[in-house]
Amino acid sequence: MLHWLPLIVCATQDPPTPALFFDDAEALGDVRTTCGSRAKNYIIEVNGGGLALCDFDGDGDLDLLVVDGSTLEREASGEPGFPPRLMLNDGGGKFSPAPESWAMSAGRWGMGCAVGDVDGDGWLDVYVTQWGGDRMFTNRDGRGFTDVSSRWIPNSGRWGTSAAFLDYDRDGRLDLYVVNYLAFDPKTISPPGGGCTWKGHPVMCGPEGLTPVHDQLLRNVGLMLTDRLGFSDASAAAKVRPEEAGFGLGVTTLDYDGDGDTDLYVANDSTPNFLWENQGDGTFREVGLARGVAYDMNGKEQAGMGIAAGDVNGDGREDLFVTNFSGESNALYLSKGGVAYSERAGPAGLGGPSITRLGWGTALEDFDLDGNLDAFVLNGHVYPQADLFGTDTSYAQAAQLFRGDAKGRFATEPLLDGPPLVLRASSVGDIDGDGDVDIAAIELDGRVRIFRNRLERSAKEGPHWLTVRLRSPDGNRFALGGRVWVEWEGGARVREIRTSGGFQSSIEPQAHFGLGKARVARRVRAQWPTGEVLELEDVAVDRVLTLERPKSR
Amino acid sequence: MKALIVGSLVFALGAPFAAGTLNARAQGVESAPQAAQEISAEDRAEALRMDPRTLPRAAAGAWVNWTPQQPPPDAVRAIFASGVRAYQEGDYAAALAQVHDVLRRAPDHPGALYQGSAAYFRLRRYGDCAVLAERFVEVAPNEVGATQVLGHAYYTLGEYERALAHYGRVVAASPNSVEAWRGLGLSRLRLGDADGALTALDKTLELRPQHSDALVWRAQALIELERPEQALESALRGRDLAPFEPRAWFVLGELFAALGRPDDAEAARARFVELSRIDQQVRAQEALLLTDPRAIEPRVRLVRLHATAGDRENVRENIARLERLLPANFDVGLLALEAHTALGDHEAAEQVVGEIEKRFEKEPAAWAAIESYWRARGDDDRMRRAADRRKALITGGR
Repeated sequence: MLHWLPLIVCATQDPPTPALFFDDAEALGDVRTTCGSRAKNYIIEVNGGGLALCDFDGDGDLDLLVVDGSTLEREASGEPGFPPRLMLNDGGGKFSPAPESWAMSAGRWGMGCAVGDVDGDGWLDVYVTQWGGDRMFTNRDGRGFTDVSSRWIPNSGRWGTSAAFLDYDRDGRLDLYVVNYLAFDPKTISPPGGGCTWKGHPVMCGPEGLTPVHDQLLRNVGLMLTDRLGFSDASAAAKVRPEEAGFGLGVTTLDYDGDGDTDLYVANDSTPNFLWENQGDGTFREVGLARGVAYDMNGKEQAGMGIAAGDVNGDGREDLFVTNFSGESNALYLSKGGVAYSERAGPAGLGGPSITRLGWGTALEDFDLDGNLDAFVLNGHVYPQADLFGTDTSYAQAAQLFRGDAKGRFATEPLLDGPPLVLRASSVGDIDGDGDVDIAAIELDGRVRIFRNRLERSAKEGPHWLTVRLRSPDGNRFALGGRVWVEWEGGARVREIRTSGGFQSSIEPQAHFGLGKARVARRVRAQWPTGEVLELEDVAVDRVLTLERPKSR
Repeated sequence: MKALIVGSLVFALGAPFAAGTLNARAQGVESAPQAAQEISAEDRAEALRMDPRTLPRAAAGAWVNWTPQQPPPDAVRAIFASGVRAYQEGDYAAALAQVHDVLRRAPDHPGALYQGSAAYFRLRRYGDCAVLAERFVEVAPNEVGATQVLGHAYYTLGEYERALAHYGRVVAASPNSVEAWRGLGLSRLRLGDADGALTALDKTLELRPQHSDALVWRAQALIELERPEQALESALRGRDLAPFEPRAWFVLGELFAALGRPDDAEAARARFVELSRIDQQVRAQEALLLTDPRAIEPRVRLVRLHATAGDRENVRENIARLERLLPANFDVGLLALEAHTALGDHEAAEQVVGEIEKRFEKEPAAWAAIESYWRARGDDDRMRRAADRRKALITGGR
């Protein structure tokens, strides 16, 4: 009988639980991006492109904008980079290339993107960051893009990475914060073997040793219909000029001090992060160190990449999560009440599991709809040499899902089954309209990937969800900077309306809530950036709720 | 004890090597050569390339009777001793080359495993450090009390639960292990147990009251326990003991702000930013020295950086290293004079002037430097004497 035993043991073992997300290779087909050579001899080649999951054609589903890069060979020969591409969603989560009317001209070397309605026509427009001359495309009533770069935006020629739309001066027009990285010239930067080492291995140089470049605040002056620029560089006037520039990579908008205007948080690589506090008079003040969000718990600057904002512990205040370099912990800056934060990635369970990985794209969303925010991090090293001896890390790395509980503690699990990948930017949204949040991701030098959420739910048992969109009849039509509070039996959460976050990416301007088993949202309170408030009770769930700004103030 | 910056942490690793049970003397290497055996660049590179997981294993129980007092086998004694010397000189690649050699000839020799794990730790190769330290614990379980380095490796890799468990084993075996208690405190803090962290850090300070880093981390635990007044007291003590450590000022900035002392907070943050910028550059130079410990330029930059911070102790230490690397070198003398002068350390500067006078009395440039020094000090008599010597040397006594 003994020989039966192994068979019985095998038969009674549960099959491994599949990861919450799977790589849906058929959703998008073979869409690829390029970012220099695979050898990664120069820092320009390591960050990859950007993504936006937004409804550009107004059909109610999320389309996918992919920002592509270039190669140094193309650059040397004077060829433009690869153009950004829009892929339209069929409503069921399958994407196909958009028609020619959506074609976007290529710049020098595309990096990331920001999405917002810059001209107040009710359609989402696009800003594409580049190494050398960012670009802007306006949306022609959901029928295509128009390149307005030369007329609407100042050409800085810098290396832009992430960008964020906000209405900092509350004039109803969306302004733009552009994060810049460093001064890059392949003719003056040494390739590997030129003296730059990491863990004893020769690697590409930077960012240390190179020159960081100041970010820019572009003010929307509302002159789009004239021959003058639509945006002017207001960095100096708005005092967005720190003593020392950072190697900027990520940005998000948030009203961290709850004073009703929009502040900015910037993740810098190898330099302290910035928190730009909006003074309400058209100027900003940098308060990152004073508020506890510039350094990690050790008082060390980190290599910040991506940012996520969300209220992880349900105290009604948004917290900040930043992905960092290998050997560093990702950082969770918990709002302590008032205006101060405290870095608590370790106790939250977000720190330790991140140390051997290098994180990029991230978001705080309720992926399992249990009412608590979760986080994911896309990982992948910048050095192919990470696969050599003695690095305690690797080039390809597993993406991670951190499931949150009501107290803001997280448990780590793989985001996906399958081999590790070299991942970069991400955007999030409900791609297939099934109520849960999916992920689009850039694989460096590989496919753009759609990670579909396979959460099982039923109309009766849930888990339930609610997505809230705010609309205004004029000006800031998608209400960026607005806030939504949702209460349900067993929980409550606040979310801010923004399109920024992650790394080099943008999202649909909306707030998504997981509600667990609650079949109704007891209360929904919406506040527009202009101050109007709308409150609803006993709101039906499992739907997208679009709220128009009340007319009376 | 030399503090070592490891990733985001500062760990002191010296105890087991300087005074613990596994130091060179205890392992019967008193006859070790005065200098480490010269290891070729090729052998050093090969040592760095080698995966320690591939080192041969001994039969189970092969070292069951081993004690730290037991000398290494005759066949490897000289190599082992030379490896210890290389380690002590900061040449970790050379130390590893010799440790690997010992472990090939005497598989799983506990002393070599221990030395190897320490060298990997210094090289910031924490996974490799853990491989050898785990083997050491396996073959010499009675010596677990000396293996805080394994806790440090787990901690630095973000494996806080494993670090906590291992530190627990270390303090159970060696209740007076200062660094294990400190590691225990930090691990508990990372896992959100501020009460437990405070207990462990208090124990650290009971064993070593002047442990500045433990004082500052104790302040952090007290912040989390919402006891800011006590936290301030601890942070101030830590700051006074290590005034060039940026983290103390970082914590003080947070504490002063929390206690409603905005001006003090501002001043602490300003000092933090100043020291932090220097510290970042110091870490970059130290990283270069890890694989090339005899490199001169990074060492020179370290002298200047520590002088900028006002850190006399580190200036003196790095100058001493330079003097060992470049004995009787005029440029090193000038650098020392420049650094001590910048620090206002007149006693040290005048000693250097004396050395320069003796060693380089025929060099006009030496007298020019001395002239310059006394001018800056406002000592006209000595400035003129130096100027006269310089002129006499230039004119050849004409």
